[in-house]
Amino acid sequence: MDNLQILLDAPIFSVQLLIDGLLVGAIFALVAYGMALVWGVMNIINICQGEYVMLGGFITYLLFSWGISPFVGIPVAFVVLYLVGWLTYRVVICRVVEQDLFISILATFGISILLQQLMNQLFTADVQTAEAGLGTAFLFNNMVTVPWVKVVGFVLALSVGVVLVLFMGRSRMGQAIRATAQNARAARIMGIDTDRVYAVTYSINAAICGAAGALVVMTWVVQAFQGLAYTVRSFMIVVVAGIGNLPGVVVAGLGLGAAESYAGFLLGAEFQTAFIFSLLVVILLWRNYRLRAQRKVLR
Amino acid sequence: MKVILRYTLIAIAALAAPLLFPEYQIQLAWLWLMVVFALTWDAVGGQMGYNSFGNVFYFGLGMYVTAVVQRDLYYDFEEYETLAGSLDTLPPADYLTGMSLGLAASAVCAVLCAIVLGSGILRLRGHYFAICTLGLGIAAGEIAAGIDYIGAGSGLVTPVFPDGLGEKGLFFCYLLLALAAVTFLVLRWLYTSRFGLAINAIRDDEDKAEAMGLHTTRYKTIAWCVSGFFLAIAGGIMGDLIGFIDPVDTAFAGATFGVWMVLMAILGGKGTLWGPVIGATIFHVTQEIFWTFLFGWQRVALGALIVIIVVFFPQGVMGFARARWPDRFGHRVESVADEGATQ
Amino acid sequence: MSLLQVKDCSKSFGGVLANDHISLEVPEGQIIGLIGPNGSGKTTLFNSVVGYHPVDAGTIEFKGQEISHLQVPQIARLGLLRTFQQTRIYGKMTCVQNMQISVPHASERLAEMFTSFPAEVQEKADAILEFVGLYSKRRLLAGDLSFGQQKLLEFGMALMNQPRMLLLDEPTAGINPTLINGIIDRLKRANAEFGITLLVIEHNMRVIMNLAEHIYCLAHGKLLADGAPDVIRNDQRVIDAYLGAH
Repeated sequence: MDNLQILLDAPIFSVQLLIDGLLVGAIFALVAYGMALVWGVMNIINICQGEYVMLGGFITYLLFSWGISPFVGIPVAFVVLYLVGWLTYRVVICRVVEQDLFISILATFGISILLQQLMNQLFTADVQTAEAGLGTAFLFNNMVTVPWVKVVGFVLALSVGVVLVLFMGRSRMGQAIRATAQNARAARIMGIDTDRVYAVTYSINAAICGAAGALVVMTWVVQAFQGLAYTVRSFMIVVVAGIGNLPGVVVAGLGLGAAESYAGFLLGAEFQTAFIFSLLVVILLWRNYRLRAQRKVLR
Repeated sequence: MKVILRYTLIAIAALAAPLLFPEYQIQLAWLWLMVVFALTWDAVGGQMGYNSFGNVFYFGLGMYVTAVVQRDLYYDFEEYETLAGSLDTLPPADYLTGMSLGLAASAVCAVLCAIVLGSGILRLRGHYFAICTLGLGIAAGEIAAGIDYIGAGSGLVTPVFPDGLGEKGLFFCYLLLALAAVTFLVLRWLYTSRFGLAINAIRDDEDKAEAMGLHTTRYKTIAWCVSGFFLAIAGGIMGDLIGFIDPVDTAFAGATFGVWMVLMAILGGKGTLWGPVIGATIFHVTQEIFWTFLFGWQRVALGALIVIIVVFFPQGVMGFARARWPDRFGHRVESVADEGATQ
Repeated sequence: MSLLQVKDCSKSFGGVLANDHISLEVPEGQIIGLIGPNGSGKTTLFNSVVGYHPVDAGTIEFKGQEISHLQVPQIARLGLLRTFQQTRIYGKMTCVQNMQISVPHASERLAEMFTSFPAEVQEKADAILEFVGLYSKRRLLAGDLSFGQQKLLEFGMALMNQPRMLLLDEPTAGINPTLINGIIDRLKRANAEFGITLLVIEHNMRVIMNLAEHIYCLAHGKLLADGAPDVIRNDQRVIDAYLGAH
């Protein structure tokens, strides 16, 4: 915690950490929104959420290694992961969707392990990145550096989010999704093909993660085993914000990004992952403690 | 009578196997470890309904505690770090003393942790419990990777197995067999007592159990303590067998051991006594086959296997057997007309 | 002597005032009824009494002791039990096991947790199973019973727990009309022979008029009227509340 002294002595570092955190937080919020969507509509906690992000990252990395700009990776990863999501739904998810929540957690955990190990075999466990070539902004007398790609990533993440919200609010499929989320049986009776709704929801989620993954590999790195951390981040954000609460998801996502940024600086980079998983435990215990005071239980 | 005969046959087979197939001694040792994994998971998961992804926490804890006790009893810890590997091996008596004290310490630490952590974590329900324990297991590994006293990211070397105690493989095989047997018998005793019914009631409807005045907190905590107790001892033993402890891959191996525990219990049939044993055996054999024929891709195959079992075979072997032959495997489906019953 | 005394209890959920300054009293050894149209706050009152959620205002006393701040298992161990509207039993355990685990837990010592149940418990379980008419089904899994049989099992489990007082939430709901008399009979016997005080929520007027010595009627979260069955039956306000004449 010696770094704490640095922060107190030179507040400008705080600004750096804050900006870094908020910029990456938008991507966290986007992935969390996808998880909340699947959770709210299908009552499935998608443990392979982070692996979809990782896949999107690797697709973009591949394009980059073939000389294509990583920005092209965003739509490509979106489409490819949409198909991956659809396939996964048809083969696995449709069979666990109306069962015990634990079965779906275990099934998606299995998919998560499968994908991690698959990418490990194909790409090794090395860390990769894709240069977007946008240069860096220097602020506050060169004390704060902001790579332009991170700003672009932030804007794109929020844009995808806005498009999604419009889709959910204005389109027929969006309506069908919201109806199914509220009462699947009623939706079916009214003629909505809930199976198709589930497939679309799950695929959209995978696609969102893919696009987010493209942003991640540009602004940061991709690595075969980075997935679980993203899953846990999304889960924390959804738990704190609540499933229907979109503004909450955005705020929680940005907040988590900032918190991680500070934690990485204060505790050291080697404890970054430890921080994320410890925070998960703390958040769940704290929420439960608060609910118990009202004699409710975190279900 | 049949029960005693069955157990005796199994005991004889288990004791003879490493002698008859010496090249498989280490594999057998791992088999007994898998049995302990599956049984301890099932006690909390299948029998009590608290599906944990973090039981590996106790395994890793036990591994480190035993190793540290063994090291600190006879060496200076900094000297150990620099000279690890080229230190003289301990005399057998010292090795055994260190291991025994280490295992005892591991067990005590595990029980204390179960009580302390359980006071918070066991109040979570269902999937929140599952994911919280997942976080616990992984966080522990990442934090351990940052503590120099236990070797940090470079890991910790355990004392070398000394000469004079026989074959290393045989020693550990029997040690783990003993642990597996004790675990099995203790759980068998618990399941047939009031404790067993209580944890089943908690699984079937915890709110109802509370509304009937059951001391659910007590039972949940004790179940986790029992689970942790045996896992910690298993961890301590495995630390010595493997020889090298990596915080994330060996000790707090959430993505491997942590998940396998769950899978084995489900494969064999969760909530039954023999289910985890059967599941562990099938899983271990399958894993060995995967390793031999799919090396490199065996982890990918395991991921696929998890999905297949969970989606297509969630009732497991025992569940399947009970559905197919209910009378042989424990449940009546017809009423019993008894004399003396009035309506 | 009042076994249960609810004084001025209020509870709201969000903007809805489910219980508005309700007071009622259950003397020991009696059978008291609680009626009212759907949404009048009966189950909310039950939930408050057994500790399922805290009350916003008011006190609840059981055996002279304030219990509104206690947790559900603590209240249950004092001898105040409830049955559920959606019958709750332990589905994957046999009926006998359901009964055995329902023994009173207030005086359970640590060592007792690990022993098997003594023979008296087995005998008592069998006796109660016979009392509720489930003796021949005792080895079946509780989850395999029909709904009505599960209700009887739940009742049996409650008796096994030797409560001082039992709160029954619609004990005849969903039961075949020909079996209802059997239930009324068993409830009366539980009260007379085992000395269990009963507070019963019921919609079936015939049942509650037959069973209860004193009836409280709730409507829109408030206590509308209370009195002997004949008084209540003829009370215009009660009739209006059920028929919705306002």
